[in-house]
Amino acid sequence: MALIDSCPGPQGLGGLQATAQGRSQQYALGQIGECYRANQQTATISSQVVYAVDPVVYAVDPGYTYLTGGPYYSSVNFTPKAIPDPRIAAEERFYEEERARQRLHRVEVTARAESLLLSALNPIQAKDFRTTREFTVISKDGKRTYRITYGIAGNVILIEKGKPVARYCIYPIGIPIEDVMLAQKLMLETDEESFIRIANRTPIRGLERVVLVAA
Amino acid sequence: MTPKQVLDVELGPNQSVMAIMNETGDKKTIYDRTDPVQVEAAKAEFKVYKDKGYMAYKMLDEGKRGEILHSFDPTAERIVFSPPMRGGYGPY
Repeated sequence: MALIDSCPGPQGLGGLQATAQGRSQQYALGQIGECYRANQQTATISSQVVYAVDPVVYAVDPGYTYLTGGPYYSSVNFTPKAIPDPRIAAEERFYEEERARQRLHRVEVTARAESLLLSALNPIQAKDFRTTREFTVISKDGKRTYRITYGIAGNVILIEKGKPVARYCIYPIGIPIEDVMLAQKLMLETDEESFIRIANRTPIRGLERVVLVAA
Repeated sequence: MTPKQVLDVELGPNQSVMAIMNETGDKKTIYDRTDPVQVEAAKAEFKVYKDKGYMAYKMLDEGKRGEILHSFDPTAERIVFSPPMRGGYGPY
């Protein structure tokens, strides 16, 4: 319906070539009282006029009456309303669908990983995990106790005499958190020496210790 | 004999499962321990992941700690693979 064109009016504003009641008219884009035409008469837009000021697309609804006629261009007394550019709308729809798909994917992945983890925990650990998202693991020789907290890095805590004394950072890459926790548990229970050798160890002192004990 | 729940999948009496952790949670391969062809395929898959540095664990009954597998165990009912472990951040 509408063509972008330049307005040859006195202000030299950008304008719009549109058709109203079968007549081709030209008016300024969103400018009120800036473009004039002599011998004013009224005209009514017969169908929706759509024009673009990149990247926004505006529309003038049918039925809008405006002044026109003469060698100069009339003022255009409307407030343009933005309507979505079909290209942008399609792009936004695509990204929204993609985000929804990824959210669903994350939920499925987490559920699968949690299911695998729970299938490998004993009933006490499973109950603990369901309640606190953490569980306790006893080393293979039964001498040390570790608390695996929900996370990937630095989430394995060595407990001695009921108090946290060190934090271990060790993990496989590219798998969900629950799988990481399971990998840490399996390694601690079967090959603690390698676990300690590979992991980075950070002593827990001061305030962090107080906070962890309180928790 | 009714199927039983093993590694969150239902297995028949002679079936085994290998769960390989990956970015989607895990990929499960189910095979029949009495079928030499299926066992051979499972063994080949086991080798592929071991060669990539994955750690394989033979899972025992609920609550019992697993065992590290250095080679394919055709009697294992459930095997879990985890990607190679690496030391992370720290000391903090």
